[in-house]
Amino acid sequence: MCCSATDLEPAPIDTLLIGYGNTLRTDDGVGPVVVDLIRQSLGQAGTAGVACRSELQLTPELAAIVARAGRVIFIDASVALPVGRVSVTRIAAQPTAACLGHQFSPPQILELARLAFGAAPHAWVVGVGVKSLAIGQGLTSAVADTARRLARHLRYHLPPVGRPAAYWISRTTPVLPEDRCRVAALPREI
Amino acid sequence: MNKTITIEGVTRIEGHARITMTLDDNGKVSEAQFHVTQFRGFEKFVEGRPLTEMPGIMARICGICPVSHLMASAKACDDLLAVDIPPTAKKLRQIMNLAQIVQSHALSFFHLSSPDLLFGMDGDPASRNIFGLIRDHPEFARDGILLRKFGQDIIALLGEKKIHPAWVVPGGVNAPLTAENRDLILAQIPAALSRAARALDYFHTVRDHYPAEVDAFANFPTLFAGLISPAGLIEHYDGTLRFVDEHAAPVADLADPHQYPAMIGEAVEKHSYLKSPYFRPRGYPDGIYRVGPLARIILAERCGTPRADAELGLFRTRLGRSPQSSFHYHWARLIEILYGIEMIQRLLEYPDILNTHVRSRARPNRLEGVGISEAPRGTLIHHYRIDENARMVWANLIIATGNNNLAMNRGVLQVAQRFVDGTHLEEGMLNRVEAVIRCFDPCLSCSTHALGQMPLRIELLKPNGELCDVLQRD
Repeated sequence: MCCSATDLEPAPIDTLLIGYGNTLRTDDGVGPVVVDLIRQSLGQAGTAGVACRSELQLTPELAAIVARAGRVIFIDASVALPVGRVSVTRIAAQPTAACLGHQFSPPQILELARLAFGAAPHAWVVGVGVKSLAIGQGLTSAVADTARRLARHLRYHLPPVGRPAAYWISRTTPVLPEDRCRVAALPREI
Repeated sequence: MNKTITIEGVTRIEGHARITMTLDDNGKVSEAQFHVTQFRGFEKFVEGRPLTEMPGIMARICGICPVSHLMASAKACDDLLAVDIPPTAKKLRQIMNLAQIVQSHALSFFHLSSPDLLFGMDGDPASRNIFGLIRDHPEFARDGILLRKFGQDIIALLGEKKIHPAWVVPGGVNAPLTAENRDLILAQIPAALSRAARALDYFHTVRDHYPAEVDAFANFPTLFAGLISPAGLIEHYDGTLRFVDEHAAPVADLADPHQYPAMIGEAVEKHSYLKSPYFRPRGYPDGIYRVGPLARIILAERCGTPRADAELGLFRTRLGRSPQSSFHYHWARLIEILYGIEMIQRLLEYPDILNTHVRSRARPNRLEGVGISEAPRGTLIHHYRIDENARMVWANLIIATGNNNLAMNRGVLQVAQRFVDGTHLEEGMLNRVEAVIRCFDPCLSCSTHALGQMPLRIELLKPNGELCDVLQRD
């Protein structure tokens, strides 16, 4: 089932970048920082079909914008990865009964988008290994370096200005690998 | 020897709490308590900070209702500066506050409470959540998501971000509204009104299915309190703090916010970090009162917007002027969603809404300031004292949820005595104990939330401590 055009804002999105985390907990804010770097690199005019969102946490109303996207890249801090490492994991909508509140995981957001709006965008979670989650603003130096390189890498894979959305999506949807990779190799590897 | 049941991790509320119930020898509930187990401490650690930082710091109390704390804090700071903020700034603050009410009520009703109403209190817990809702009632759930998005988008358009915006400042707001953003919001109004109307249609199909719950969900006479406009209309930003009795007859009006301690006492119980405010003239605990959407629509003569007033008329025809059951918070919440959308439209259509003079500037002119506003969950009070250098020396907060603490505790006892059979626990019994709390939509959170990971484990112990029965929800 798909919603009518009036249920959502009309413009489709080729690539939706969602960086989430608490920017007042040092490296936990790496997702929003990466998205802000990409937004800055896109400049005032931006890039057609690209939307950038910085979020404190994933909330249910994000399902509405996720449903408009061809592909979604969630960027989050990870305590499971070594500091500065990046993992790229393909994800899909995941039915669950456990979520009882207002904070959702990326697969749960995709599930909401699927159930509520009939949408199934391609989606990945990009995890960044972090060093510190202490109270404070700004990233630690190792993670800040990773953030800059990751932003450049992701920016490289965004649609070029002026390209028709469908043209780009058809050629770049599988752009991100589904396994884990080292950040050091990221800019050249993909 | 008594037995105790503990609900550790009350679910589908904002924050961390547990409920304990003590059983007598016949397995009947003799006592029940609602324990708020998280601690914030904001009143203490703001000491020494400059007053200009207060709205930004206080908004961090919560990730769900930061706008409410922004409002009350900014109003307390306005009082310290002794300024009247520009009329346009007041309207813009009202719009953001109403957007917060809409999005918060949408979360409470659609995501947290409606699974109980649409699947039943005894329904399968695996389905009794937002995903079960969306599978069986997709249009209803979609409306909930998009109504919350409507409120959040307004907050983000005004304040640049939807959680912890820094746009509300002492003396007004830090940026005017653009014509483009005004038009973006206005364009969303018709769809939002339709969604609110559909939600009410849904609610009317189920509201009569729960007579036992209506009868036992915190259904007792209390005072009600909230802001009211000079014309007797519902009010969320300014106005007089009024207390009415169980018949909606005025008991006391607080025209000067500085005098609130004469009207509100603050008791502390050992079992909870949540204060227990009470109406001081009646003493503790007889001065029990309730706040929030039900209180506000009982207090007000009318809403002042056409659709909300039509629904309020239906509410009063069906339930009377002053229904005492807290089950009716749900209906009141939906009426306020409708009102909020209508008022946002009205405020946006004022000719001065795009004025660029949106901030009054002054140095502090008083050493003590009080700000009172209505949060989604009820009346919120921020009270500050500063020194000659404009640094905070003392703060007192009366949080909306705290105002309902006595009523929530008494409600838990009432519903537990009605539904819980201590000789054999069933999930539906305990869900009702939680559901009465959800009627009040308490917000116990600071800015981190882990609600989705909180397990629920209820243990029934024999007098010797031996485990007699257990329910586990992962």
